[in-house]
Amino acid sequence: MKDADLKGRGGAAFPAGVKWGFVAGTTPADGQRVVVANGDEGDPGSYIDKHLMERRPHLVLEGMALAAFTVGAQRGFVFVRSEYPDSLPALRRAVAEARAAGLLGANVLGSGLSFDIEIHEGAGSYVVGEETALLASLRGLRGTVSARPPFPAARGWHGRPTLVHNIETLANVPFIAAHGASAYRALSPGATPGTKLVCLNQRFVTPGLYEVSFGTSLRTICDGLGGGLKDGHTLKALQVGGPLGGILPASLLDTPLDFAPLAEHGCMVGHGSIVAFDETTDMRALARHLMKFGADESCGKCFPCRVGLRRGEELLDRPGPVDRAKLEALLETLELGSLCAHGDGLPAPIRSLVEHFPHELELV
Amino acid sequence: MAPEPLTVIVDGIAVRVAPGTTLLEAARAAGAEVPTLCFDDRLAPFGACRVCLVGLDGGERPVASCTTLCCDGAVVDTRDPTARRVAGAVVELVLSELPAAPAAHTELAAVARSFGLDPEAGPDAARWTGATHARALDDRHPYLVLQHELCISCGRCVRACDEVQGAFALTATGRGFEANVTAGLMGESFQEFSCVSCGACADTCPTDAITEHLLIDLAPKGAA
Repeated sequence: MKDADLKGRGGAAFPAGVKWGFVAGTTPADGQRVVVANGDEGDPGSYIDKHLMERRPHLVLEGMALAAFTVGAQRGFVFVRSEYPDSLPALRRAVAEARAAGLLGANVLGSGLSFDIEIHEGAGSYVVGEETALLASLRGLRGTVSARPPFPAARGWHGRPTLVHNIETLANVPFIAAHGASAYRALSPGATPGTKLVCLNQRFVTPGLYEVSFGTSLRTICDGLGGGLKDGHTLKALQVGGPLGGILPASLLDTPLDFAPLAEHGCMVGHGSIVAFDETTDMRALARHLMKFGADESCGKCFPCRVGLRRGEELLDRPGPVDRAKLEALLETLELGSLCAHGDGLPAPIRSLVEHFPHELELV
Repeated sequence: MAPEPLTVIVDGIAVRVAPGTTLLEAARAAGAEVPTLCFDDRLAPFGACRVCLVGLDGGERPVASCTTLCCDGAVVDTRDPTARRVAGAVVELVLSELPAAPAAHTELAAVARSFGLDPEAGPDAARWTGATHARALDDRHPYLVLQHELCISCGRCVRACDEVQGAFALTATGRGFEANVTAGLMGESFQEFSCVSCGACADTCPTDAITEHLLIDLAPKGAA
């Protein structure tokens, strides 16, 4: 896993093998470790995990079992977004099939290893995609974020060392186990190892889910796979990786889909959603919408996010010019003050809009 | 055998602390003043208010001192300009959410003064203005009164009730700007639950969102 250099696909891109090492290296008092699959996919425009949970559930369960075998876990949970009513039965059916085949439960395939998985329905909160909030919700508590450390790898579900991975990350594991690290790295020569699932929004001629190599240019993805925009519209900008991702103007469409090249433009791979905005999009309205989304979904624990996102929404909602210094001071407060990636991440797309579309934002 | 103590430098002063000590504890041991709103040394650190931000090891990104543990040789700067600027902005945001200025004797007012902000100035004096919390008075408890509009969701009352008294009579509710404290999710008053009227919540509240009845009744009209 370390040689394969699988980067977490939920947005943070943390090396999965390193995380496995942390969990395996713990010495829990009762010997119990836990694997949690994060299927609380809430990014608007993202349906990657939905596809995997509904169409490839065994790939996810196999990834969890391989992780559990490696780190020494006995229990697993899949936390499923409540807005995905088809994902729950698909996963539950797959778990029943795996148990019947002796692939889950006590003494898996006579190996002496015991590992079983429970499917848990979420309660409708975007921020519960953040791992500490997810673990709180999984225990029946309010879905609010906690300060890290302690990281879940050290103290997670009911205090036990817990490996938390995004669904897509786990779906990469069976390939690595079957074919090895070099075959995995060869999927994206000269770029981040493996492949990435991306999903295109309804503005494209052929919206949908696509598997691409890292390093593929966004132009190839948007024009080649997506067929360009519908009804003769032209692309104005893209938001890659969810509402916390930066916004890339159409002039930078030759940027490769990979962590470093996107970061150069204040953008990220994130979880892999690609949302196109056409020439009719009002960027001030987009900025206001993003702030409103952030304010509505703030868990309310840390003060900068709880009050700051609401103030950002209000600043952009008042008709007329926006005081650039006030906006930028607020963005800094959110970025440096927030407890988690929600408040700390929402300024990224606003900063992109400030950089590329200052006139539309009416900055003074 | 006790574990080896760590040495931490706070604003140029070396202090020796036990492993597991937070930056906030080390800073206070060194005599530095670090403002806080959600911290109460009787309660586990919570990390919500972000007012205790400090500079660490010369890094660009300030850290919350209440939830960050000391490493040997750590260099803490409680006057770090970025930390102070961000923490001050957070206090300004908090002042902007209350419908009226906090009373002068409250911890919130004292923290605002420590950042050079005027706590008496009211919500419209903040750089960022907008909605304030709607006034909502709950005076059904015989000894305790809740003014929900003064709640800044620091969670101290809930945690004091849980961690100090073990009564579990209060809980956080709502999310984002609507976050608040409540006794019952169905509009009940807190004496209908497991409240034992110990007053730990009122004692720890930094804004007077929870107070004792008598203090309110006896205060002259308009007094701070």
